[in-house]
Amino acid sequence: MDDLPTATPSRRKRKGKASDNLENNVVSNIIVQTSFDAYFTYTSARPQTSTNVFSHLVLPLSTEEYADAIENMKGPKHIEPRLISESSRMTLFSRFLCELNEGFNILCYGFGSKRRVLNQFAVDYCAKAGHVVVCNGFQPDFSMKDLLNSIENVPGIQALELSSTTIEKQTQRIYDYFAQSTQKRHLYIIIHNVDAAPIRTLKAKSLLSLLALNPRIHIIASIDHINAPLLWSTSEASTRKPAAQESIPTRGFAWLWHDLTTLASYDFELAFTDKSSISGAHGGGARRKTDTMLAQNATAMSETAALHILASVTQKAKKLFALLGAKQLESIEDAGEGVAVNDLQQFGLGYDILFNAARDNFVATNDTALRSLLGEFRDHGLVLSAQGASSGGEILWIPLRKERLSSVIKSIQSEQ
Amino acid sequence: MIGSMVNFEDINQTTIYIPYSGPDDDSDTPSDIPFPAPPLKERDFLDGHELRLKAYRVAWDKCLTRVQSIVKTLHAPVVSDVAMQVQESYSKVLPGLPYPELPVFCVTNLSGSTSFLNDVSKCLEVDAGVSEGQASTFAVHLHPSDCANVSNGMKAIITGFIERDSGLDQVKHRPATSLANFDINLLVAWYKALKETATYSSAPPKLVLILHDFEQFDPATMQDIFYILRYVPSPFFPYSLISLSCSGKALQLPLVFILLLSTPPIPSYLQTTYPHSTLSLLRITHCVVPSGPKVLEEVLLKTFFDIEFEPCVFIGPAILEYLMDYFTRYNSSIDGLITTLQISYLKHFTSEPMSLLVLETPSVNYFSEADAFSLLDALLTRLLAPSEQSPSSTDASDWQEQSIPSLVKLMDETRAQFYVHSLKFRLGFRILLIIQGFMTKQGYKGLNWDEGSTGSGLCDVMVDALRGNLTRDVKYLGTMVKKFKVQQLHSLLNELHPYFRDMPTHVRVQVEAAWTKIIFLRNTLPKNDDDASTAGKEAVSEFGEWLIEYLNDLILPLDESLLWDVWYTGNSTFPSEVINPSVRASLLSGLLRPLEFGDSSLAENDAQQDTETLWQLPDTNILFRRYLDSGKMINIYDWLESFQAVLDTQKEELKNVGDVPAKGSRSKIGANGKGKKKQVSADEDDEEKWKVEVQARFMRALHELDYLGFIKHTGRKPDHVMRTVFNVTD
Repeated sequence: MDDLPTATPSRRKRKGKASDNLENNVVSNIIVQTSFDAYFTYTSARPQTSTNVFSHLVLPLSTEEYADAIENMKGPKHIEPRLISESSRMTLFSRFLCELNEGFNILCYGFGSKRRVLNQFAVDYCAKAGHVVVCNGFQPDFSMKDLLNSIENVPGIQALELSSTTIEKQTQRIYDYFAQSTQKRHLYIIIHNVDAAPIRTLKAKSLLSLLALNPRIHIIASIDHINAPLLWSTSEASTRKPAAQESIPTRGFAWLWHDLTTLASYDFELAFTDKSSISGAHGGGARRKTDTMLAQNATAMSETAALHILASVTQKAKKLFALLGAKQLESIEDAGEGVAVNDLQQFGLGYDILFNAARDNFVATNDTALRSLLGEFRDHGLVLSAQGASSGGEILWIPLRKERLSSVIKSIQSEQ
Repeated sequence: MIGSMVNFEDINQTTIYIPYSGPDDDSDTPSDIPFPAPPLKERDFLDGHELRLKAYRVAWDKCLTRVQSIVKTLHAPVVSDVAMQVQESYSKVLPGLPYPELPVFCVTNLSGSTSFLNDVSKCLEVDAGVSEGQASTFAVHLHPSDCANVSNGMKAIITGFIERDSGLDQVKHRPATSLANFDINLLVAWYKALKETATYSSAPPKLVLILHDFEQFDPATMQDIFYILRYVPSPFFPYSLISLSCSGKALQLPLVFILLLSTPPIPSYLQTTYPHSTLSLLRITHCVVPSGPKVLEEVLLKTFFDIEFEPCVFIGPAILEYLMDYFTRYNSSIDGLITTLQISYLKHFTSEPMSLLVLETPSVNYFSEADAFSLLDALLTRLLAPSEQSPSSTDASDWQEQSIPSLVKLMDETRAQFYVHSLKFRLGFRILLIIQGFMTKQGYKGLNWDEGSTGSGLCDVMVDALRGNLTRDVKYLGTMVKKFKVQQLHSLLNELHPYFRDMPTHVRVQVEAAWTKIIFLRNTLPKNDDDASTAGKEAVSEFGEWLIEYLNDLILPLDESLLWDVWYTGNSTFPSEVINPSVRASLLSGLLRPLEFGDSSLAENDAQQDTETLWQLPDTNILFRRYLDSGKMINIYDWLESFQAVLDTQKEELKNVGDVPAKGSRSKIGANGKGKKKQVSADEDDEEKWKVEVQARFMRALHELDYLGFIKHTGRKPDHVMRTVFNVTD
């Protein structure tokens, strides 16, 4: 425990040395190093990394473990930026609303989830000035249709004629409704993560750009991705709302940018990501939910999942599972410390040994019976098998780490 | 109240609708529009924001209308040209062409102004209304997203025409019996029906297709669309091989394309991108909408340096410089220019408490209220402060005599004085321009204004004028005038004379003396040099002297006026981050120095021990620091290890800070012999738990960095990721 902190500085030193050398080499040639130079310096050097492979050395976390750990974590106190402290929030919000009413749309950037702040703005300010629609662009199954359907909750829109149900027509109808000079109430659309994948598409952007320049529709959006500003060309971002006497609907955004660094965590935005995968949040965390399910690592069997499967199998099968589990635990115990505990295959049990043990315990008397019992587990990935390297026979193991496995077995035994 | 009704935390909701909950009245705008309060509360009073908002609205409307009318005037020649050519596009077809051509107008609009298009369409409509003989036009607007593929594009074009209100009865289309809505024959049939109606029988309308952002359209798709539409030849085309080949379409469509381009006319985007086979189907006409620095110059000159227009608030040199820079470097669109001006106005009215006095002084009643005292106090101090020139002219007794009505009166006088000052300033600037123009016309170099060092010419001169740096230029011009021949002076006077003559009366009042002088000189000056060489020369040199003195008198910087900061933004800078933000820098500083965003007192403490406090940062920030320490590729496992090392320190530190009683209890268990074994297993459990926690926190931070776009998954090496951001320390 104690030697770890000292281990890190040495690691850092080594790294620091490497980059120092790198810099020394570069300094001789480059007067002022820019980001471009830095890129080429890094690219020209051979990347030196260790051969450790994360997925071999670390077992992926189950959703429960993750949630549990995050809930109980003891980190440093959260930093509350001055900008969004209670007192300056009022000033900020009144400035937002004033700018919205002056014909601009607002885009908030900066590090930290801006969801809470903008939601408060929606409830405390926008709802008192007009209708409000809040949309969570970061959600994987968000679609423009959701947004439009939600806007149609505004009384009166549905009374207008709709020639077809395509989203273009729907958008046009909403535009027409709010373009009427008799329309008193304005519409405020809050878009969390306008840089999210569903809103990045050409179509969604074009629909949004039409709504954004309606004189009675106001958009407040947030962005998080570092390259999000590239989404809009300068002319798109600066096109103003048409003056009252102009009749042609224009497209653009009329953005005014505001730094809204909240330093808050993105837990809500990343709620749908696969916690067991290192690339789970890639693509803005906006992967389809089903994709996420498919991408779930097959080896990441959670305790609850195992219990669910076990609850639906026969007593014999349960007994077999307990048997296999106990053997596996035993061999883990025997291996002791120092062995990579994450590769569970090495603790697996040969099929022959399992068959003998099963016969001794009256679980299965013949090969067919045993295979049919195992079939259920294999289908659900609760038991995995592979051809053993040395013996040539089949090796079976349960993809649950030590402590999870023991608690599962405990709960089976308590049932019996 | 609504907050409790709306559940923002429901993870399955993609959108949430919050109904209007304000006061239930029918007013057009919500009654209580918040107008941000200025940071200096001392000089504000309760209803201040309402008055400021009112003043802002009036001032900005005035400025905006002016800018729009200037832009409109600039566009007018091109607009009328395009409109006329569209109308005539099918009346002057070259005879003897082997096949018909589609008339196409490439409008290069570098300034990206949407008002141009409005003017064009208005012009087209007006033409139709005024002269009945001419055909009216039906316009359909197409955007790049409408034409993702050919069938979508055709559909957008055809439904765009058919669904408009053209006087034809709307027929319910049944899919089984009618043509598909992307079939060109549907448009032909509709047009045929249209032509048979009474309204259009004499003059069938032109069908105008306006393509916005033409560069964004897919060339392959557009080629096909051009090709399809070309096969429906024009009714005015004398003979057509095509119409013979597809005799079913005996009726033809007068289609006109207007392509809006934002790339320079040479080399034309159309010609460089589309193949010759497509271009040969089109009859292309190029039009260029005025744009670039000249437009900026024109707008600024006519808005803030014009004697016929008086803006309520004048823009200072700092904002003007920013505007020039922004316009020439980043965004030379009219919209950007207008936005910049609007933001400057907004800033002036929200940050300067006294800006409520711009248009009018609040009535006596306002000032009588108690909360107006601070404003009153500030006003008194400013208005009655002894001037620098004559410190003794005011004394304490003056202050005591002041009543609120007299103060209001004094304020009104000050306002009038400022506007007179500004008028003189603008007048002086204009006279300077006329003389400079005259010099260049005469073949002299003059003041070399057009080749300003920064290249923006006249705009730099405006900034100099506002800063009061024109004295040397005035002197130089005066000296040049002194060296004029009598004949030349005559010509100059002849240029100045009509300018003075055509001034509005209220302006001329201010320059009565100069006007008289010019008339007098013009009449008395000898006609040519030979008549009276000495008299003439004396007159010329005397005029030069007078000119220097006169211009210097006129061009006084606006901030020399009393209470100038009410009507003039002076040296206050433009809040550039609002339109040209540094998103990257903000994100990086949020990651690198989160403590500085917190309370200032905290940040100071931490600044001293910057490197030691890595463990005090949130997880994502720690991980980001380690990210910066690494090379191009990062091994995830090593990253986790280095992250864990920091978290271990953090755990220790946190325990040391607050967990003293917990330590005590632990030692108790340790003292108990029986508990020893238990403790070992508990420790093991803790260890395991801690590992899981570290891993969870690592994944969370890793996902956050991924979400922000700092990581690229290349898959080149197992469980490695690539950095996307390099060298952030600069």
